[in-house]
Amino acid sequence: MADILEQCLERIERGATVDECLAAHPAAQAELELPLRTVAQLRALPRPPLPAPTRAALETKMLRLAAERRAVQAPHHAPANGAARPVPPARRPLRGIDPAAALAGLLGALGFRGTLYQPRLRLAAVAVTIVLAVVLSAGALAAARAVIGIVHPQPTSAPTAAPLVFDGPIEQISEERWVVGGQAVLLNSQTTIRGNAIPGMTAHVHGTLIADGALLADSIVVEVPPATFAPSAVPTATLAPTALPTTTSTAIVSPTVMPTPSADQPQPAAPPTASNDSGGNNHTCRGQQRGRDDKKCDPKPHDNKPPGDKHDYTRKDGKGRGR
Amino acid sequence: MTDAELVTRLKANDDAAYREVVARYGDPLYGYIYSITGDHHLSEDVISETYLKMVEKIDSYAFYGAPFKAWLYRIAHNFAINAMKRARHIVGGHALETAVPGDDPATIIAARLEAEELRSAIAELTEEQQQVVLLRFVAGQSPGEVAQALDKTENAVKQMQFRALRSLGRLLTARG
Repeated sequence: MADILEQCLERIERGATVDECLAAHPAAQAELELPLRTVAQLRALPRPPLPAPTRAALETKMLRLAAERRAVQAPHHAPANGAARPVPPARRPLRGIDPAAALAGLLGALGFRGTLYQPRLRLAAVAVTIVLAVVLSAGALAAARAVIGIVHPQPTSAPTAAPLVFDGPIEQISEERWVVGGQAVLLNSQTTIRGNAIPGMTAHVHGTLIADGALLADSIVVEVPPATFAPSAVPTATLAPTALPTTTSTAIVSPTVMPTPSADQPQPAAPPTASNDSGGNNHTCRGQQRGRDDKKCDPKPHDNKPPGDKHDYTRKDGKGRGR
Repeated sequence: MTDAELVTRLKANDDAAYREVVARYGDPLYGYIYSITGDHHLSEDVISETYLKMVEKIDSYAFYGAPFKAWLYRIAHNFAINAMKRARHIVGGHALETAVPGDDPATIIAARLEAEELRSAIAELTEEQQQVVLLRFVAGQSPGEVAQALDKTENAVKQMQFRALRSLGRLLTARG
């Protein structure tokens, strides 16, 4: 109905009568008639012109005000003839900037000459402000991270993978750490061990140097010396576990022992597999034979030696031990 | 001189701009103010106050789409309404001042009374409705100009216009 009324008003302004407009909208006559008649009354309200004396007085007052403003703004440079001086437009304080006005000014600078409705202008200004705030904050965050990365570079947690291969005598043996040729060698679940690890024997170590200078062994091959095995040649090396160095990344777990008996070597016995430990104990010897007092690993064969081994130390009468 | 240029030169305290603003808007503003007050003395006081306020606020006026004319009319409307609230209606004596020579005094008075009834009915509308009907049908502004002056959309102005005219018509009908 509001649109129909506006259409009628436009027709009336172009010269149509109220009756003509009502006739054009018979269904809306009842609602349209009163507003249209009222508009006619409003337009008939007297609107006299500004009386001449009032106009002259008003103009005089305005010119006086202009002169006063010039005197206040530039007391030493006010032009006498009332000509305009290039005074820059009044600047609002920074906190008084209206976003809608700024957006309108920007649109005007870009060449927009249309009508800018205040509500839409304000909504657009708010939307632009939010977008700018998000973009600027994201950029600031990225810049801050970059600066922090330069000032305080994060140490990498990954170990420095420097492969290392060396040979050396076994000096210490424990579950998770050996000392080979003075070098600490760390073992984990991935470490493969070949041969019987006996202190004094030479170990061929393949490993990776990790960040704190320790060596993480990938594989260790214990070389048996060509001489006959003599238990007395076994050095009295401590087999007690030592304190493990702290590492940052590797999880040290029980190493996997892979015994490889060699037929031409005077092996005392093929060490049993870990599953032979019928007691179900998680013994530290890891496939080596359990010692008599269960406190150290014993390289000597026990009852479960394979038959036919020439290094049979058991008594032929089956009593006790051979040695 | 466009309104934008006029505003710029007013801010620069150009005498020519101050003359121009009186010449350009003096008559329409006075007519608008008179349509509210119905009194010449009040209207002269109001228009003087309007121009003074314009000079006082010209530095903070920002021309970003709303016509300068709409801003002036808004100032004039507020002063006119306030003046009407303070003063009494003066009827009769001043009606002859606007009489057309040769008119029957009875006709003049009848017209005057009709106008007074209309003004009093307008005063019973809400302030926004008053502004809409006066700016649209007394000041002769378009719906778009009224929308800018009142900080509303054009559709909102059309809706307000319809409701205001319907209410005004009912008030006038009730008064007989």
